[in-house]
Amino acid sequence: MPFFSFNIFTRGRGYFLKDKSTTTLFLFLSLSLFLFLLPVKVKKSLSEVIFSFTYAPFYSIANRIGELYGVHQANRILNEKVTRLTLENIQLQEESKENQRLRHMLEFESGSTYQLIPAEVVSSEPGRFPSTIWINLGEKDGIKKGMPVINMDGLIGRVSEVLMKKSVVQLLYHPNCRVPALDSRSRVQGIVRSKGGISLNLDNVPAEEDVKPGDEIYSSGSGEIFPEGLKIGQVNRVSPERDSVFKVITIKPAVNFARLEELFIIKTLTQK
Amino acid sequence: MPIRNLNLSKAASMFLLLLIVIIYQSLFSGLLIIQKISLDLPLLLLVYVGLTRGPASGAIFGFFVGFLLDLLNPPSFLGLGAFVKTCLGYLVGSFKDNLYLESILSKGAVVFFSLLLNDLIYYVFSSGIKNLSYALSIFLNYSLLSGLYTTLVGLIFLWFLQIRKAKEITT
Repeated sequence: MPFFSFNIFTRGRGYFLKDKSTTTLFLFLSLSLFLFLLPVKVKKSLSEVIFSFTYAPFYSIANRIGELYGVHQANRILNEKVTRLTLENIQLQEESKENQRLRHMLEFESGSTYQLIPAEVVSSEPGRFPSTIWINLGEKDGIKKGMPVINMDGLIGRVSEVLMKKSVVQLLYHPNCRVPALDSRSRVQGIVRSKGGISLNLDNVPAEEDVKPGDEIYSSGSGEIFPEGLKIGQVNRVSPERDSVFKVITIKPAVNFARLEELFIIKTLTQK
Repeated sequence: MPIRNLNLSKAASMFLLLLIVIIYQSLFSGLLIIQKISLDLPLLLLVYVGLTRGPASGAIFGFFVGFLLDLLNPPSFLGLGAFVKTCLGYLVGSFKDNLYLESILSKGAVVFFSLLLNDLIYYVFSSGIKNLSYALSIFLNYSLLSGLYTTLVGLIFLWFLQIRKAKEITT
């Protein structure tokens, strides 16, 4: 038996035309040629129509599956992230407790929290650089002279006068307002006060101390009035020593004093 | 008419195989690519239909499979795949009564050479004489390996079929 042989070659010419399979071949070859010779425009629209009910439904299923897989992958990544952050959080909580315990052992006072009373600015001192403002709270609201005033951005000033329903707040620009402060990076201490104008100064910083532009300045809490950790501003410029004893440090306030609307009075310092 | 001779169950099974081709091309073809070498399941099915049902069925199935694959190619080539696969289906179907069918290796050879022939004709026609070197590079780089991959899968499939048949005979 030969390995193979073709029917169309081994059989007669008459059979060639009568053979059903050969007729089928020529029929479908003609159809293929007809398709191939169609104008491209017709081919495009024909392809589009047939594709829409043959492949399109399955491709949409494939896309859905792909999307689901994508969501599944994202979910897995997020779960990992949540787990990692949860562990980090637990670790931080442990460290916080340890910190409190150690502070207690060293007989340090734990961090204080503020009791904040929300207030609104009623009016401000007329003039280019107002150094005092009026707020809508007074004696009947528990406001007392000397209470620090802050907003979301940082320290604003302190209550200087208290009426029954209103109070006067002395802003950091006021010549009488002095705030003990420190450089958060180098822990260098000084006194923040205004010497007129829109910037503040950090005074009493010895010339050899390390203060650089960009350093954050916070209240140091060393006075009786302002608690520790209230943001005052950022060092804008450190001028060469005028007299070899103290630096001249200019601070850009953290608070925008031109847009004071809602602020908070620090009523008491509660201990943990 | 020759189509009339195909009975309903044959037509239904052919339709089912075409559906398999569509589903495979839509959902699974990308998953079975190994190092850029793809499994040509439609060709495997075409060889199966040709060898089991003869040249007429092979030509008809080849036309429809080729046409379905043409839909995934640029529309300007619509009909080319159908033409090539119609010829191939008929050619493979011609082996039905002449090939030593019990031999798995001969079937594997049919699959392998069918794929090579299919790719050679298709790429030469689609790329034109000017880009003949491009067609040949595709043929040498991908068709040969794809042929081996498809043949291997085809042989495994046939082997399973034979085992199943043998079990049916013994029971």
